[in-house]
Amino acid sequence: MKPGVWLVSLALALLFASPAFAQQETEQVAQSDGERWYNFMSDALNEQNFEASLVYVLGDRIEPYHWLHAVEASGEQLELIVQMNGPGFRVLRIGDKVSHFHPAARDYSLRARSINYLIPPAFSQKFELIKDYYRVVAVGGARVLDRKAQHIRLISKHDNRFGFSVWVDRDSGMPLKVMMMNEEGIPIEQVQMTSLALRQDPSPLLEELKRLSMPPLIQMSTLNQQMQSNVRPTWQPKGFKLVEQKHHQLAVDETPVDHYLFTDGLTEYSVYIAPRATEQAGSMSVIGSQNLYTEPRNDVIITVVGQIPIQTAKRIVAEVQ
Amino acid sequence: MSKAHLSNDKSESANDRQESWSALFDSELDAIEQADFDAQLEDAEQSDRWYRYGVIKSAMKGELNHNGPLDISAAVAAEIDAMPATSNEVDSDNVVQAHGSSRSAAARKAAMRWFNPIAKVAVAAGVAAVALVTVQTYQTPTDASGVEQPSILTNPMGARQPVSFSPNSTPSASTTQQALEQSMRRQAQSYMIDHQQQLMMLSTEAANNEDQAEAGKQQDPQSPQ
Repeated sequence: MKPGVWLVSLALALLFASPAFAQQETEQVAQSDGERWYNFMSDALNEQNFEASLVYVLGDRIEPYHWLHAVEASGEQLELIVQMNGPGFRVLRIGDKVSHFHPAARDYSLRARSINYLIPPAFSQKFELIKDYYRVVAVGGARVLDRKAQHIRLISKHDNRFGFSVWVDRDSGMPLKVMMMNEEGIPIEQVQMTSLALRQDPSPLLEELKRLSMPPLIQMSTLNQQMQSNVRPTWQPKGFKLVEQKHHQLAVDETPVDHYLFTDGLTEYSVYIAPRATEQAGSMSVIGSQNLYTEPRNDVIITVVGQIPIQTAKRIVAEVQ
Repeated sequence: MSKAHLSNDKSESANDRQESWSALFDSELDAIEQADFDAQLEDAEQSDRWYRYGVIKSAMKGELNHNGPLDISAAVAAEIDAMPATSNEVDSDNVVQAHGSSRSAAARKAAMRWFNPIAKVAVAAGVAAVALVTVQTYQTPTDASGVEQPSILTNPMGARQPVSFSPNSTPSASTTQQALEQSMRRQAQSYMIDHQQQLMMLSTEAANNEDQAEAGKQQDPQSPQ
């Protein structure tokens, strides 16, 4: 090889090896990789016939679940989640109808495209839908559930919401482990699969379930009732949109509330404005996977509930006017 | 019988067994003998059935939707009733009769005990697909700073729910304070349950909107300013 060629290639090598270039390059690659893995996961959740056991961990609490999913030849999806400890709560989804079976209450069905449970519904949709507010980054490989997994992180583009880490099975696309982290990176809730069986054909059990008659379908009113209070939320974290507002009563204690529901496609929060009861003492916060902050002001009580950092919740409350 | 096929299993004793499994799944442990329970657990065949029963439960006995001892949250029902009649429609293929009396008084009592003292919450939670159970209640060591420190733990029955509760006031052992905390906790729970309900309705509406296919434009919620 001629010396001249050596020099040119050395110069090129140096140029490409420069840290700035390399960093930018890898970040972009990691991000598009991340998106690919995310979409691989959402396809798997919609297309795979699987039977999984998993544990759901929240603080010091562990809940075992069984999770089945099947796709019929017609394309219709069947999904079943069974709580394996305690009363044995079950949710069954057939197509866009979700039936809830709870030993303590009457069984009922709802029209819904997903079971809003264990794993955010957004995980079974394309990354496209949340890309304005989240980045997804492929972090690296790991062994999870004795499988080769790809670790991806969902990072909020703004600081005022929680993030996720997901380990996606490199072969099937199934999420083997999911962690939701608060703004400090501390895990709040986790889902870990403990067994996963992928089937060629739908599970016979789900076929059998299909023949059951389902509990009555409850239709929700889409009628918006007039708001009662003259104050309303005026600030929301970037990316959150108001998707619903109505006046209704809380089911448990019949408190009349003005309710505003915001979502960014992945997480949601509610703002409630209720008349102030005399015994209402002061502000209060509940920290957990759903945070709650409530504060009395003048003649109303303002409450924010959702998967958002408590500081964000406080700001939302502060800017209700 | 290798894999128990419940729907074909109609012998008298099998029916009895199923009865008690059903009771178990309805948290009516008290309703059957503990010894009987142990015996059933030892039976491998039965434990297969255990799972399947959990899934299929009463449906095969034609008593799907048999009512729990606690009526569906009256408030929720009322809320639904209060909606315009057209929106309160029940799938006519699926009209189900409630068997409110299908449980013994003992069973009812057992279930009541299971869910108290937050029975009402648990009922509404059934509707909200989430139930909160107070697992642990403890006083924080007196903390003069009054910083947010969990004083009560609430835990979910399998849902994405809260762990710790902290009134933003100095914890004190006084009974009035405790009563206040109790009421605040209930209040917090009712908001959280409502939030869950709203989320379910949200996906419900999304599904409905999808049906009205081409009108697809109207989904443009604007933010309040």
